[in-house]
Amino acid sequence: MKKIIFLVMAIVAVFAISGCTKEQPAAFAGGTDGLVTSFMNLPTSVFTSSVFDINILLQNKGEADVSIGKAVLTLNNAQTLGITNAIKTNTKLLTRVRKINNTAIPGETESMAWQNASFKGAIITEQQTPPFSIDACYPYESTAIATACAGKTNLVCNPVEEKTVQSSGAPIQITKFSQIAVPKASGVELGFTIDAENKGKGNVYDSAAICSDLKPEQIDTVLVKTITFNGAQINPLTACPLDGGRPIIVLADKKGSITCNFDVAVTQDFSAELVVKLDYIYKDSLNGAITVIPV
Amino acid sequence: MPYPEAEIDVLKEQEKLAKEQIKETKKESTVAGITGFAGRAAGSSVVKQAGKYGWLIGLIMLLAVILFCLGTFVGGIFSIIPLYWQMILLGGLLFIGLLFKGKTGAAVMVLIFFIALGGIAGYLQYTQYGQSVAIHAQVQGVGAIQGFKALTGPLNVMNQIFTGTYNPENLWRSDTVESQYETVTDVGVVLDNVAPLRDKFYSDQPIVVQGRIDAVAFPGQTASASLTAKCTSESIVPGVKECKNPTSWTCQPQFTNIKQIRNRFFSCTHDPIEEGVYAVDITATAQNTVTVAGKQFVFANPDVAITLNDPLQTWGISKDSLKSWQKGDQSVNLGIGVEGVDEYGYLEAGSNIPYYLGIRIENPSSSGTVDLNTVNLFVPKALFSNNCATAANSDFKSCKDASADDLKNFGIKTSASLCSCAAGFASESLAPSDYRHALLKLNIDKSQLYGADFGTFFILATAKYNYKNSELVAVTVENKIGTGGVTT
Repeated sequence: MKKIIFLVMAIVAVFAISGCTKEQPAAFAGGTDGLVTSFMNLPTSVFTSSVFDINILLQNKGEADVSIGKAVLTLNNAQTLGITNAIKTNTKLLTRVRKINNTAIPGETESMAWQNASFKGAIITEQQTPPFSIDACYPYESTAIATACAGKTNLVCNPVEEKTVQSSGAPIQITKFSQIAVPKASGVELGFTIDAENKGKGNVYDSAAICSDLKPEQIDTVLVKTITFNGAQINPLTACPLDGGRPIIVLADKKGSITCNFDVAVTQDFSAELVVKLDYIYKDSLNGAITVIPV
Repeated sequence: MPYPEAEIDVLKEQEKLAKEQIKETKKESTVAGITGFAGRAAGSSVVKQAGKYGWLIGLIMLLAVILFCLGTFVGGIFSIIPLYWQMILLGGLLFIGLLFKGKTGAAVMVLIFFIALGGIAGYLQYTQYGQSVAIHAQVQGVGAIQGFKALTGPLNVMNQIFTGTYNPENLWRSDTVESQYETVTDVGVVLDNVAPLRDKFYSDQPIVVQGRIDAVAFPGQTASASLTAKCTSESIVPGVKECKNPTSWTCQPQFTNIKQIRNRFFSCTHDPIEEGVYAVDITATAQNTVTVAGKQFVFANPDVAITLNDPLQTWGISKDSLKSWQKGDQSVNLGIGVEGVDEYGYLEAGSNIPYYLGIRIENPSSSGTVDLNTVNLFVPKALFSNNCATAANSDFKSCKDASADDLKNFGIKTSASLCSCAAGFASESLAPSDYRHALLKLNIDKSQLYGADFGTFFILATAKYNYKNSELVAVTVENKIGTGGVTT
C-alpha cells in the first residue's frame, strides 16, 4: 500500500515540476517581413498605345509601426512608363501586426496607384518587356527579448550561458543571445552578446539614412536603439562599443553581432527580462513585368 | 775599338727598349686596324681583310650572275618550247644525271614518267578533246577566283590590323531579331544559280548568263534591284580574255518599286565574241536598302548600384533585353554600344565623366560592297536637355528633332521625343569587312532617374545604303570547226 502511495506522490511531483518549467509563451507573432508590397491587377501585356494603372498594396506584416509619410515608394524606370512623379509615400499610419491571445491581428494596409501609365520607349516589331520595379524604403524596428541572469552564483540562474531569445516580426532578426555576469562588490557586471541577421530580401541601412539619398557607406548598419533590463533603461551609448559615436552593429554577409555590458546592483541573484531594440532603414524591391505588344 | 762594358750595357738596354716599342706599336696598329683609324699598319690590315671578303663577295656575285643567266636561259628556252617538250627535256636531263650516278633503274623510271607527262601535255595542247579539257580547267580557275573572294574579308581585316586602323574596342555587333509580328524576312537582294546558258558558246552565238534573284524590301517600303553584267579584266582574273566592250551587256528584267520578289528568273546577254575564256561579273544592286538596329541601355544611381551584388538581377532586368539587335537587310551589321561599358553593364547617372555612345556599321560579306546613303542615330531628346542641337559633334555633324515620318519610315513606334543625328561618314563605301564607327558624347543627369534607382532608354540606329551583290561566272567561247568565228 505504501508503495502505491509513493508512486502516486512521485507522479504528482513530476507533473508539478513539469508545470514549473513550462516554456515561456511566445511574445511575438514573428516572421521576417516588414512592409510588403504587391501588385494589384497589374496587366501582363498591353498595346503600345494602351493606358494602364500600376496599383500596389502596401501591407505591414512586421511588428513595428510605420508613421505617416515615412514609407517611401519609388517606381523605377518611371519615364519609360510615362510617369513623371515616381515617388509616393504612405498616407496612413501603418500599424504593426499585434498578437493578442495567440492570435495575430494583421497590420495596416494601404493601396497606392501610379495612374495613366503608357509605354514611352521605342518599339519596332518585336514585343518588349520594359523592366520596372517598386522600391519600398521605410524605417523599421526589431525587438529582442531574453531572460538574463543577474547572479553571482548559479544557484538561481546560470550567469554564463546562451539564453533563449525571441525576436519580433521584422526583416532583421536577433538570432542569438549569450550572457556573462561577472561578480563585483556591489553586484554584477552583466555582459551580453546579440547576433543580428538580415533575413529579409532587401537591404538594411543605417537609421540615419534618408530614403531618397541612401549612401553606400550606410548599408548593412543597424543601430542599438534601447536596452531595458528588469524595467530599467540602460544607455546603449555607455553600455555598447561605439562606432562613429554610435552603438551600431555592422553586418557582413547579412550577419553581425555586438557585445554590451552594464552594472547591475545585486543583493540577491535574480533573472529578469532584457529587451533590446534595433533601429534601421529597410529597403525592399518588387519587380514587375508588362509586355508591350507592337500593335 | 771595342765598346766599353758600360756602353754595351746601355746599348743592350736601348735595344731592349726599342724592341718593346716596336712590339707596342704593332699592338696599337692592330687595334687601329680593327677600329678603322689611320695608320700605315692599320691600313694594311684593312686592305687584307677587304681583300679576303672581296673574294667571297665576288664569288657570290659570280654565282648569282651564272644562276641568273642559267635561269633566264632555261626560262627562255622553256617559254618558247612546247610543254610536252619541256617535260621530255627535264626527264632527259634527270635520266642522264641518274645514269652518271649509276642508277639505271631509277633513270629509266624517271624517263618514262616525264615522257608520259609530255604526252599528256601534248594531248591537251594539240588534240580537240584535250583542248576542251584544258579550257574546262581554266573555267575552274575562274571558279577558284570566285572562291578566293571569300578571303577578301579576312584579308581586309588583316590589312586593318597591320595598318593600325582596326579598333577592337568598337566591335559592337547586333543580333538579328526574329519577330513573331513580322512576316517579311530576308530583306535585301540575293543572287542564286548564276551560270552561263551553255557550257561553251560558239563564237557566232550571243553570250547568255542566267540566274535567279530574290529581292525583298524593308517592311512598309518599296525597293529597287538593278542587275548589271560586265566582263572582268585579266588583272582581276588571270588568264581570261578581255571583252572589247566589257559593259555592253543587257540584263533583264530590272526590278523597281517592288515589295518582294522571290526566285525570279533573270538573263544577261552579250553579242557574240571571239574564242577564249571570259570571266563575267553579274551584279545585283539593292537600292536604298535599310537596316535598323536598337539597343536598350540601363542607367542607375551608382550609390545604390555598387551596394548590389548583381544590380541587373535585383532590378529584374534580363541580359537578353540589353543585347543590340537589328532587323531589315542583314547585308550590314549595325552595332550599338557605349565605349568602355560592357554590353550587359549599366551607365552611371550623374557621373562627371561623359560616356561615348557609338554605332558601328560593318560590311561582313566576303564580296559585296556597301555604298552608304544615310546613317542616323535616334537618341532620347531628354538626354540632351531637350535640345537636339547640343548633341552634334565631329562624328555626328547634325542633330535635329526626329520627325514622325523619320520614325515611321523605319517602322519605329514610339511616342517619345527623339533626336535624329546623322553620321558624318554617310555616303562612303564599305569594302568587305570594312567598317565605320561614330561616337556621340553622352552625359546622364541624375534628374533622369526621377529619384529612382535605375531607368532605361532606347537607342535606335538606321542605315540606308546600296548593296552590290556580285557573282563571277566563267564563259567559254570556241570557234566552230571550219569557221574563223567573229572578231570583236
